[in-house]
Amino acid sequence: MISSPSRRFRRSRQPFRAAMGSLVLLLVLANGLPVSAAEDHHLAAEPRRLIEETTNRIVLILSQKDVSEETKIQQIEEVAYDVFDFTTMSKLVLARRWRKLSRDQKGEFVREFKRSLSATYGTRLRRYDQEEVEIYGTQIEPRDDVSVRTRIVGGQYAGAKLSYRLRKRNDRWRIIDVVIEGVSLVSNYRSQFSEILNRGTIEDLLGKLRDKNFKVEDGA
Amino acid sequence: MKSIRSALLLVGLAWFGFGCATVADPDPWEPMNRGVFAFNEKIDSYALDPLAMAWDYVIPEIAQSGLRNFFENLRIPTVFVNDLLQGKPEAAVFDVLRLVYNSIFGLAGFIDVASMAGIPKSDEDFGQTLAVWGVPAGPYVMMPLLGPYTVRSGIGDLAEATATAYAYFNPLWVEVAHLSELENLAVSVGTKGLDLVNLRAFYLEEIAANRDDAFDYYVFIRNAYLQNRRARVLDESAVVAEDGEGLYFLDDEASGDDDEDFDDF
Repeated sequence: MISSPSRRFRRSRQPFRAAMGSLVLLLVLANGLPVSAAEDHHLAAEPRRLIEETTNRIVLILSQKDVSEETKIQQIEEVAYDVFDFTTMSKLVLARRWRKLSRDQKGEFVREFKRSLSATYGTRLRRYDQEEVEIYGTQIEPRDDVSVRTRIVGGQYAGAKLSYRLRKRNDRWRIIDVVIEGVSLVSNYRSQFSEILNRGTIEDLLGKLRDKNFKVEDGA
Repeated sequence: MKSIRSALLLVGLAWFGFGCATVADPDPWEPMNRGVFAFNEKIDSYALDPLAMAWDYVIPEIAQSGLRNFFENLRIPTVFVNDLLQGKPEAAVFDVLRLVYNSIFGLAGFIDVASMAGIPKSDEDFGQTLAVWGVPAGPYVMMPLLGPYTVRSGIGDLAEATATAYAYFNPLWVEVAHLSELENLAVSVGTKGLDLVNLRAFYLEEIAANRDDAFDYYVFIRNAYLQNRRARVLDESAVVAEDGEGLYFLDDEASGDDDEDFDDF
């Protein structure tokens, strides 16, 4: 990591740089490598691989030439269908209200939420075509969840941190939350939905979801 | 000296005024906050958004992020003081290195060479320092023009502004720069405005997308702000700070339809 600027400055400022460099090194050693704090638990290996594969798939999609924006967004949405556990996410987002839904309502909610979330994911990620993503750690969470922490390298969002929370269900690891700079998507949706549900019914919420999805697919 | 005294007074106020009240509802002033928020949104759509759009059109992205780096570099002395106040001496040393690197090798801060060299960045502000000292966050407040705050982060920013204003208006400094106090004020307001418009332009697309995606934009902002602040106080920008509220707990675990999959319903 230190290589590129050091090469540039070696000639002119070597003594100064060397002093600074050794000071940094000293601090880093004294505090136990803050940058690569990844001791990987074997439980985390599988979720980590899933995130690795997923980011690789996204990078491939974004790097295609002669492919329209719409097609790319659609391809990213398909990745989302694979890696997110929309049923669990729906349950978490609706919390105690999930139980009060009829079976049909549950199905419809998951379907609409899935469309909405995937569309958001697709349009958001489309813009991150200059950036590289690196995994810098994993953590075993309560309830056997695993968090995989990633950070954006290069580009204008360099340093931004994204953490994926994964859970194994029906023998399959999938993403149940994305935490961007400390902001959990599940928590954010939950607070908005509970506001709507405090004033209205589940049918109002479903209506809002449908309207939004309709507008997105209409290109508006 | 006067400003330092008023800054201390503010800290005291934060402690005694809100120290004893534990707040269950983070937004007890919601009706008023929503009013202020609507006002801010109007101002944004008539003034800041068009300005930022024009700025974004004229100024290339690389210059925008350069300017952002420049302003971030200027903030380092404040970050440094807060790192010391929070008892993080190693972070404070990194701040100094960062300032030296970026100011000398990074064209006065426009290029963030320190990050390229792997020097960790800290983002402490006085609101976070107050949190570390045990001052509770207090209710959520939407400030006219200034946007979302908690009482604690608001007092933090106010104290910081007072302290830095003291540095700006220090007679010695005014003498050195040959500026009148009025000119000094104009410079500081002007640079703040430039910083704001540039940042708004930098996040132009994100903000537009957030507005579109949100089901209730006021709640979206409140939730994102409070979560982000909490994560920053804990210096954990990648994890959810509070699992305690049962965010990942499934309500239907006892009811048995745990394995049913609605994804392909």
